[in-house]
Amino acid sequence: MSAMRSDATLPDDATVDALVRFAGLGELAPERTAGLAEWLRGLMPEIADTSARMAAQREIPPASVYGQPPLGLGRERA
Amino acid sequence: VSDPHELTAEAAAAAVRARELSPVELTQACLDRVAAVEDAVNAFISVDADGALAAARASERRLAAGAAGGPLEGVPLAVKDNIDVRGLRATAGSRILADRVPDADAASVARLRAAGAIPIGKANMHEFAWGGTTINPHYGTTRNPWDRERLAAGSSGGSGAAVAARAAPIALGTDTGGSIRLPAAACGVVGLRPTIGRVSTQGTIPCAWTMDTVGPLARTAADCALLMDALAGHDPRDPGAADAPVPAHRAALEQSVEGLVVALPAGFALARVQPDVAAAVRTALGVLESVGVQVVEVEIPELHDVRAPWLLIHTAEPSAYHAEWLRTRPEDYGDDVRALLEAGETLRAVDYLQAQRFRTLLRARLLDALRGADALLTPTMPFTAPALDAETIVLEDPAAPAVMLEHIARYTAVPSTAGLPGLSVPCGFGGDGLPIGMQLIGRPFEEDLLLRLAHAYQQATDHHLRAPAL
Repeated sequence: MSAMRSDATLPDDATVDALVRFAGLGELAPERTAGLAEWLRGLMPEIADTSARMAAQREIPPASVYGQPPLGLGRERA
Repeated sequence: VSDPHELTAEAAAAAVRARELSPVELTQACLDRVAAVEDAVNAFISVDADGALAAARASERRLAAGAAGGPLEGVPLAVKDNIDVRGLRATAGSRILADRVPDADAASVARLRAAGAIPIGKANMHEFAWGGTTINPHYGTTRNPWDRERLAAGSSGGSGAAVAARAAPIALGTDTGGSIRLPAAACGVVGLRPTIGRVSTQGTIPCAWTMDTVGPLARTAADCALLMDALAGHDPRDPGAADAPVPAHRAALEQSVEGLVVALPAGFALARVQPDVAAAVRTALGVLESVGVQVVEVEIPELHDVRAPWLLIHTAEPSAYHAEWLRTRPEDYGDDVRALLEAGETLRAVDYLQAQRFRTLLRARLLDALRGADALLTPTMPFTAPALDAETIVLEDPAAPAVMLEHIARYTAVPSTAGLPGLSVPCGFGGDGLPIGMQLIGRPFEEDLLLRLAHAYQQATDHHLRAPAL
């Protein structure tokens, strides 16, 4: 779990494999991890970019999460 | 009344209340239509002919005893299979829940029953609503009524196909990232994703909790408005339900749209779409102008950044719901859904929270734009219904096909991420003869205004009157 690249939150192959093992999934069906790793690698740069931009905008508050009206819409209008 | 299965819900209910059409005759006509088209379309996982006819006979008895009848009296309804109907299997399109039979209606179904609607069956769907094709390994692929070699889209593909095929005038679907609007566009019907919290999701199997909604599909905006009159409202059993005032959706359609403003984010809405789709949207804007709507252009840079945060949330949340089954019954999932659920387990909490913060930013930007306009307009999908086996699709450049699933929800993900209502309305046909849909995005809890715009558009056009040859 320590192989995260320093330049982004983009995991390398070993990290993806470790994540899958950590989640207990690779042991169930190791043949599936190749496709999963490919999907993650495709999405991770965009996720990392979003996270970096949001991290730089500290004035934006966290959204509400499940357990109260999503996004606070209900409370705003109630 | 000849061919009662061809009637809109509003016309059918009016005929039933006027005793011009028996609810039994109407229900039997739709059941006959299901039997006639189901082999070709595969819109249903289960059909409840006995239960539907019993409900129709009960409706007939009520009317004979002098009851006035509800706004949807005797109108057959298709219900997506992740929404509970008492006594009927609710599989959510899965093998995991293949034998699940709820003993109570979901809140949405109960409200429609109270308005007089009659559930006739459970509509096919993408497994657990986690996908946009309705290619279902357990119950078969739902095919597009306009071309059986094309997708009906999804995840509410059965609901969209059933309405387009005239097997049911109205349907319930669920929409997380586009699952009502995508099949509505692909099948040429109207589909509404309500504001999050507007319609109770109680009794509905979740996909991604913070984006899940329940909403209507029908051939006309007027029918969707009738359904919203019944569906909308607070439900204390749904912790995400909003306690906000409910407008009279159907009555609002009688108001003029003159002076309303529709904004086109042109750099986003008309970039990287098939030429027929761009042309249909531009023509639709002209129609709206002809009925008095002012069309303006806006630029919202954040629209280009929606994909990653939307997909991150949409991937992480289902994995939380499915975590136990993923470990105990992985072989019971279809390959695509299982891979996505596995992927969700590997996403970082920090990225999930940053994606939630992006939602706050996006919503603020959209609400800024909606201070100067009554609705935003985009295509619903960048292309017409893809082939059943399509992995890539041509957008603008035939030499550079795009990965179909990376683009299918490009526009529908916007209101899903922002928690806003989104309405898909048929706005023409491509050169391939397939329907094209446009999406209207509105302010929170202003579904009535979106329906009003769509109704005015449908009064001026006839796309919704065309029927697929089945």
